[in-house]
Amino acid sequence: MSEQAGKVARLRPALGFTSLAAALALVATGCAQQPVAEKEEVDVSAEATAGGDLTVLIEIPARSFDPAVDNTMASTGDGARNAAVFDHLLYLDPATGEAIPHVAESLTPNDDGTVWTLTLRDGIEFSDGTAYDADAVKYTYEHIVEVGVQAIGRTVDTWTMDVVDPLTLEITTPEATMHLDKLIADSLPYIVSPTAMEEDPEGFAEDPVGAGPYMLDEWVRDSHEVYVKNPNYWQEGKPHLDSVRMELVSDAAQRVNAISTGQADMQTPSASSDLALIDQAENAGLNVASIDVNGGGWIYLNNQRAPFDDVRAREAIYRAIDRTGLAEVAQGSPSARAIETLFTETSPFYAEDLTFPEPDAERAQELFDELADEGTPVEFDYVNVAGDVNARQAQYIQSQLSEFENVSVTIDTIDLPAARERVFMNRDFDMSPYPGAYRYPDPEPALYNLLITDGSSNTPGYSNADVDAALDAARATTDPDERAEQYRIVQERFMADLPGLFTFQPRIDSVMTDEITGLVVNSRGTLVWSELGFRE
Amino acid sequence: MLRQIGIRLLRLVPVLLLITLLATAALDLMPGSPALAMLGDDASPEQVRELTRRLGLDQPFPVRYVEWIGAAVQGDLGESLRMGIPVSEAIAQRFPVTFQIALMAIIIAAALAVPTALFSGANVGGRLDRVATATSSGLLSLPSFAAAVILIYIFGLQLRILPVNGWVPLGEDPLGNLRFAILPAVALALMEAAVYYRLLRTDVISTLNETFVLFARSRGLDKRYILARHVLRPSMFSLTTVMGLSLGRLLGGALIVEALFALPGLGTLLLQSVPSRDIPMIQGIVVVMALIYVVINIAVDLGYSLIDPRIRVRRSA
Repeated sequence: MSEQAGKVARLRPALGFTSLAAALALVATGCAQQPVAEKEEVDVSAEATAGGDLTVLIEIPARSFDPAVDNTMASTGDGARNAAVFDHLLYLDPATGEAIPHVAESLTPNDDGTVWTLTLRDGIEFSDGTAYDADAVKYTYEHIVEVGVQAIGRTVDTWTMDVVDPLTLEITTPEATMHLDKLIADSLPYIVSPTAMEEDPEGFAEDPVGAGPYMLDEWVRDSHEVYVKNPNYWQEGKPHLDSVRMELVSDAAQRVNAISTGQADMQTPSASSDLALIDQAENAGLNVASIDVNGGGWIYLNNQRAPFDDVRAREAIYRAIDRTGLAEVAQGSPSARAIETLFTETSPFYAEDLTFPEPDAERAQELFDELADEGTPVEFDYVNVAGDVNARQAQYIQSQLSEFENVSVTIDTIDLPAARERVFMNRDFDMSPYPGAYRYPDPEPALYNLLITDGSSNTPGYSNADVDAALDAARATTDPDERAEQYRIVQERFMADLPGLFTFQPRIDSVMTDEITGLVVNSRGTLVWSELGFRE
Repeated sequence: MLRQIGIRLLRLVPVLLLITLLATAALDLMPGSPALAMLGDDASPEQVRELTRRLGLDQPFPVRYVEWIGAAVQGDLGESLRMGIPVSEAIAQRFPVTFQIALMAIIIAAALAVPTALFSGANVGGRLDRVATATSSGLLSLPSFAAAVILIYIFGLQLRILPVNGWVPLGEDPLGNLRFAILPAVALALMEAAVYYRLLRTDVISTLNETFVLFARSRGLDKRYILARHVLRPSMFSLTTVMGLSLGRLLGGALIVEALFALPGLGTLLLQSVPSRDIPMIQGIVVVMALIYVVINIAVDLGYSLIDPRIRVRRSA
């Protein structure tokens, strides 16, 4: 049982006022809610008791139960569903970034990180009786490549996979990496029954077969699913619950309302909660367990075109904006914090002295004037993605910059699909928010993809040879000192180049009643369902 | 009567064609690639292009529209990009929920408005009239989502006598269904009730001055009897029209209320289809809504004849 959540869970007795009206008013005005008083902690790491029917609220409708079709793996969507049905081969600890074998016994590299050996536990079966073996893992990964929806499929397509024996799979990668376990834990944890998939590929998406703690029993599209305990689950005495009902409630305030009135027991953990509503949940007497994770709210600055192809313009933005105020206003809560360093204090790569530039109005104005004198004033479009938090963030930035001369910003708000096309695909933007927070429990693979030249998440188009070399060197070693040294170089260069604007400190928030325990989540916030249950 | 229905149904065809053409054109102009929405942020341009081709979205707009309309007239509204099931199946699953809420809203609105308007109209300036008219003014400026928030706060969070969200199908548990349906239906009904009340009150006042009503009064008939028997029906023309249009509007316009109460209806389906750029689904919902709206209009027109035989006479003349 992980203690990750137990360290941070807090119980908040009711303060007597919780309502959707208050939440909406709060969101509408961006006002700070009264802070909740410190209260007794509730340990959510305690072993759950056997039995019970859990109702959990989920934000995103189910699209398919074929893991190869899930392109987000969101803890608030199909990630949560797939984790219940398929379980995690490995999962990433959000606090440490460590890949923890779960269904897998181990996943280890050879000396140079070109061949990885996956060893599975003996005797595990899918719920249809098919053996959970190396063939099944290989089959699943080939299926992901074939379906072609997940970006990770392009990486898997470069691998060579050899089934050594029923419990051993060798994965050979074209480039050395000492951190493939983290990639698999993060993006390839769900393994399907080849038998069921082969028998009915179309039907599998609606009637999945996995080796997870629960089996899908009922699915009413865009309404709810019911999962029942898998009697052949591989862990003795688990899962704890008899059934799990996942109900779709898209409105965040209504999820809190439903839990506080006893209609539901919890909502799926989220890494992009509106903190105003989290405060509201605490004020309603609900238990909120929070885990800080590396990363932050992230606003792209286009390094490939004016004005932000000039580092002075990027620094001027950092100097002009009070990022603490930005975090509080955008998140709608005084408990929101600005990210100050690239890694949290609990990370082995934390560097206290390498912080983002402090707000400095005088320096900001100097830079804006300097650029204007050169004929390149900081005039830019802010391509905003529709949503409450994003709207408040955009308006705050615009209002802060309006205090300065020789800088102007125009906000253009579009919805997420339009933003995906314009920002991610066409790179037609000057400044634009990443949807939610960009998180990297370990720098591998997320920070690598964010900062490496032409990385899959490098939307700003940042390129720095020193950073590339350091990222590659860190990827090629497991030595903690060597990694820390390389990531220090990355942080130094980042603070000098400021390729994007990091804003708030992200965290994974779980909202639940006091009755819930056994809370273990992966780095995306997805539950490890076998542990979850009711306390005695 | 049959000829009337036939003519109106024929007129329906160009209206539907125009609506579907405009809706499809608007979707086509909407930024955002359905393929990218399906593939996610890390998709490569090649992947997006390939999926766009597979979905047939690389075809010119006229070709796609003609293909779609050709299939639609045969009852094939295509397959949902998001759900991978036929659009018609998804709509058929959701429609009963939306229809039930809309119908309940109209019934509740009418139940509140009709008796109040009758008595208000018959007692202009009285206490009930003043209170009801002032209340209706307030309700007219209360959008349904704001009403929903207030109702959730009172009945869900404070009194805890009704669920704040969720749904149980009518066939599964009628009583449970009613518990889940009542708050969204009332939220939608309040503004409608205000509209119905004001409209009917005006018509009641006007009808009370008709000679046949004066004649009935002179015969010494009971006031309530006169209102129910002689005043109500001739005062219902405007209300009938508005109630018909209300149903159409509520079927298509209950998006926020449906989302707020997590109802698996058409509104929620539409809201979930837009971000995923599920074009076939949006087209399907639009065409079904348009069809319902136009059919309701026809029904309202024909309903006049049932309420007032004089209209039948004029038409046949």
